[in-house]
Amino acid sequence: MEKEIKNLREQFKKRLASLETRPELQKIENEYIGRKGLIAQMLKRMSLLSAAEKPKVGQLLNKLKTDLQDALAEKKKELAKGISGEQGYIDITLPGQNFSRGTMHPVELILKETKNIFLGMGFSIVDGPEIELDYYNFEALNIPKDHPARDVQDSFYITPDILLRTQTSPMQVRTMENQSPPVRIVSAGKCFRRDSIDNTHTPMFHQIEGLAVDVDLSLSDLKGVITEFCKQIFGKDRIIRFRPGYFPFVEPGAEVDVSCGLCQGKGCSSCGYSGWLEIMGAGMVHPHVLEMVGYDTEKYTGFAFGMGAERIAMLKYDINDIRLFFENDIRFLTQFK
Amino acid sequence: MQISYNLLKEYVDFDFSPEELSKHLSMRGIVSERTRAVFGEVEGVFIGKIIELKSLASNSSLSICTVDLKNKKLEVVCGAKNMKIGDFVPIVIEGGSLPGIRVVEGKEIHGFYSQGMICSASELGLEKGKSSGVLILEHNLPLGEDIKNIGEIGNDVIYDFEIFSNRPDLMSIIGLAREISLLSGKPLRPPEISLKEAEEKINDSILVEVEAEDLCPRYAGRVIKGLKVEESPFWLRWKLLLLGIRPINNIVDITNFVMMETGQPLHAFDLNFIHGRKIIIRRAYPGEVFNTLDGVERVLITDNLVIADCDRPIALAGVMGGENSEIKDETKDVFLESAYFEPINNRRTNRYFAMRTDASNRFEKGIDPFGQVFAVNRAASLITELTSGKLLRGVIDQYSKELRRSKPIELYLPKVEKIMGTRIGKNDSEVKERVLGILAKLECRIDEQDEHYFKITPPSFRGDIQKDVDIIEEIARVFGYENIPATLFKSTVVQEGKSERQKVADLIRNTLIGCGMNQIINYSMVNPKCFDWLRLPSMHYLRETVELKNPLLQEQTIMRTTLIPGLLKTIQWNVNHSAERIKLFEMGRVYFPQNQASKVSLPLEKLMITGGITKIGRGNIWEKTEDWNLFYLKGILDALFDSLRLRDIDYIQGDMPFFQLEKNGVIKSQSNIIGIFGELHKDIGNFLDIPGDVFIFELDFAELFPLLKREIIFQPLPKYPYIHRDMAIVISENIDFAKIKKEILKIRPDIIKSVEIFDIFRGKQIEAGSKSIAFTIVFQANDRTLTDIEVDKVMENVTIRLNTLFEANLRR
Ligand SMILES: [Zn+2]
Repeated sequence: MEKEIKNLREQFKKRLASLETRPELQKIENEYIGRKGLIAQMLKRMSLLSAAEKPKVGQLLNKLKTDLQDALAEKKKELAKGISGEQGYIDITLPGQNFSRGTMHPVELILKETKNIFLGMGFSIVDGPEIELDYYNFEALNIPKDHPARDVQDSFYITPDILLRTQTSPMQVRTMENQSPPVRIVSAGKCFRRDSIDNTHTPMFHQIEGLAVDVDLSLSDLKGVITEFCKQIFGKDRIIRFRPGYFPFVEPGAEVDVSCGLCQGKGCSSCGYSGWLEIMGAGMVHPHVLEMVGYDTEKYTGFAFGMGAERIAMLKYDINDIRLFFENDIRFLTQFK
Repeated sequence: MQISYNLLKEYVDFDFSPEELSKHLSMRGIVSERTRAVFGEVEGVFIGKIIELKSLASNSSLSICTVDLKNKKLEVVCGAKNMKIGDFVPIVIEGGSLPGIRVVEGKEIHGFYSQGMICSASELGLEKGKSSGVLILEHNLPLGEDIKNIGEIGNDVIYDFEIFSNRPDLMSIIGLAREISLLSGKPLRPPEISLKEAEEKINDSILVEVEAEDLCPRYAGRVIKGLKVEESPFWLRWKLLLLGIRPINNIVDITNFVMMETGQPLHAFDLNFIHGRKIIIRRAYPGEVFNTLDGVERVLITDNLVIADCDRPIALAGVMGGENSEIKDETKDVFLESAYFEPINNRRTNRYFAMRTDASNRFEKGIDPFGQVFAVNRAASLITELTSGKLLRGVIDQYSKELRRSKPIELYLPKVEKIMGTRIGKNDSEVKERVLGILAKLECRIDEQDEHYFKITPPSFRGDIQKDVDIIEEIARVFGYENIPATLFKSTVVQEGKSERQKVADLIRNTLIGCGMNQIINYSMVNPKCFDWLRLPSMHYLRETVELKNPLLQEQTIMRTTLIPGLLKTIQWNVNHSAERIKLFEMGRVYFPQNQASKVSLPLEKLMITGGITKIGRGNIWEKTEDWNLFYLKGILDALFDSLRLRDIDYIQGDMPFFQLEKNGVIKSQSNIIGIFGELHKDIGNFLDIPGDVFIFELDFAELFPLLKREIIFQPLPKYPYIHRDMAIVISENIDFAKIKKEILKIRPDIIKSVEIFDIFRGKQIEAGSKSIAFTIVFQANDRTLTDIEVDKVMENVTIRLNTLFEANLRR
């Protein structure tokens, strides 16, 4: 057995000298001094030895084990040096240390860009409650109870009078109640509609809403502001189109389309072969809405517009499924640097 | 509203091509969601005539039809029952195609080789669902001709127009034709009605009593006797198919067609099933039971308006007729109803029974309150034209005194310009002329006018025109939105821009992103079960939630009170999708009920900032040595507080049940609790199958925000040098470093600038229950250079103080 110990030691030395990587080292470590390793096996076999031999072989085996451990530790240190070599050689192709910046959620990115564009045009940013009174969400916006327009905004109710807001428009009313004209505000945030989930609907989404009231505002100002916004967010080469639309709290009402970026307006599957993509609703604030907050409708006119942040993001980044925004998959999120 | 190009052309003779029509209408707010050639997906369908018909020997439910295609005869197997010898039918030959079938192949059916297929309307893509039989065509069509080449039929284009809910008048052929007339300048051609009345008077057959005049302001009707219910002629069936309506029989088809033509829903009752020859329009009796046409038994409430006879309801007014009086094949005499039902009540009934029919949809949006007699006369004239029925003399027309024409509107021309922001003519008289032209086309009545002013009464079918802005919209529509210039604000307005709160929120978001975290956004609605797996006891304050009355999904029934469950679910999602290094945060609101006594008191909304990190797997050469532990997370928090210039932060032991015991804390500043942080409880990690340790923080913006100092206070750079001294002490395990640091700073606040820990050690040389802490004390005075002697003296005091307070000894 003494001979065996000696051989083992020699064999170990050779193998240790030739190895170059940590996994190899790990392998040898297990092989020799692991729980079921060669030394452990030999220790087991000691029970077969005579009483005279036992102490000596035991001592040898223990010595072998500590020697092997020391040698392994030494080798480990050597391998760890790796990064800079003997002559001070540095592998400059190694990756840099990790300081990678995180990412803003794409919806937040759109909200931020949008707010910045409107801030640049003299708008203020206002925030409001996400759980709203029916009064602000509907009634003050010229959508009384039993109005058919409520059908397309199926709501989550908390009580008969309180609901999750279905649009950011309540902030128009809240702002006008507390401020006399001129008003120029943008409000953005979460909205909720009781829509079944599919690739263009989620029960929660984000809306961006704008309102301007002054003595001299007209449809042409609305067109100017929206055109400027669209150029900034989608790029100068996109064409903007205004056509009549219906929303109970504006009159005249408008829908705004932007030319499809994929087919340059020629028509493709992503624009339903129309060449145009619907991006927002807008219009001149309905006199009923202004009257409800006590504004003089003979003196003041205003315009309002609203759009979905997810929709803008989907069009801008060519995302085909709205559900991706709320799955928060890191592989998705990290694309929006 | 589905309609076809050729159908519209019958009512207004415009010059637009199908594409131009669609484009013009969309620029006027009438967008076709789907436009298709009527046989766009059809190939190889020809006109054939059935010349022989026998049943298949091996299967008697099928027939073999010999079809004459002029220059050849085909034998095809057909399962339909509605054809007879002599009928003209569309037949698809081998190699042709139908919507949904790319290539039609001849095939063997029960031992007989079928050389094609006789098509039904649905197989041609003209009817949803399965048709009841094959499509029987007109008899004078050219045999063997490709169906696409059959003039008016083959070249048609079908539109599916989206109609705004305030324009129910456009949900009819005449309404759309009127709109096309408005933009093309071509005259509208409404249908001509010729009525041949019999001697017999209507009043001898039926009496009408409107009890609930408020819910039924107008009720008109006609009676036709001795008619024959049968299949409609081809032209009528074809028009209905173009309008997206399934043909049933001539009477039902005529009522449906006239509804589509005029927008006025009609209903036909079998006169002989109206008990007592009397129609009563009344509120339902509570609990009254009524079987609607769809075979459903409805239990009525008094809000429901019914059409009743002397014994029972025979229709749910404006929604659906009843089984007890429906038109059957044997019906000979009919009562035609044409009414105006009050929209709001109608809508309530629709919602109450969760049913909506084409008719009820029109009533709830509001139809023309003056269109009833025209529609019922139109239907009556068609019925007498198509059947041998005789029209009784007289029309029933009962209406409420409350039913009035639209209110007059005052329109000032300068306001047109003010709202549109542009002039619509070179000078005042041109502007006025153009407006007059548009008003005439809109069928508005001019009651008064001067140079800059009109008093106008809009037509009864335009219930949406109530104010001057409504007329201005019409003017803008005709003028064309595309012709309005784009201008930017003429004046400047000073507004606040971003509020302080918004700026701070931006800063927090940016800092966390700078720390490598990815922002997430989760649903505000959560599953109440999350509180169980979060280990919250039953009375925990986070379980006080705002509940949705009508949730959509089982897993989204309450409003969240913490962002943590959503964050953990997102970590779980990403772990399941092989992410290994996860650093996420969300900034969003949580909601707590408050003042539930008050009906209109809104819940409390609080902005929370919640982040979590976990590292699974090894990472690259550098990352593998990074230990993402509680102090890594604290490092992110320190960076955040530093960016907010929030300096005096205390961390004290916390007890949130979702954290590992003792590995969590409460974050305080100026005695406000601003947040919590800690290591996620292992049970939760196991429950969610997240293999790594997860570390989480949640900050409360409302608590944090008021503590922030708005201004930066500049400190002059020190003029005198620093002196550093290191010290190592052995101290009891339970004395936290923060405590030691605080005591040291107190000793000479004027010259001790900082105490920084650089090592902590436990081991053989240190007695159990103690630890060795090494730190650097930095000394500096603002008015002089400190001497070693002075500093040594302070160091001695530090030693003594730490010994008296904590029994700490210097480590040698
Ligand atoms: Zn396109």
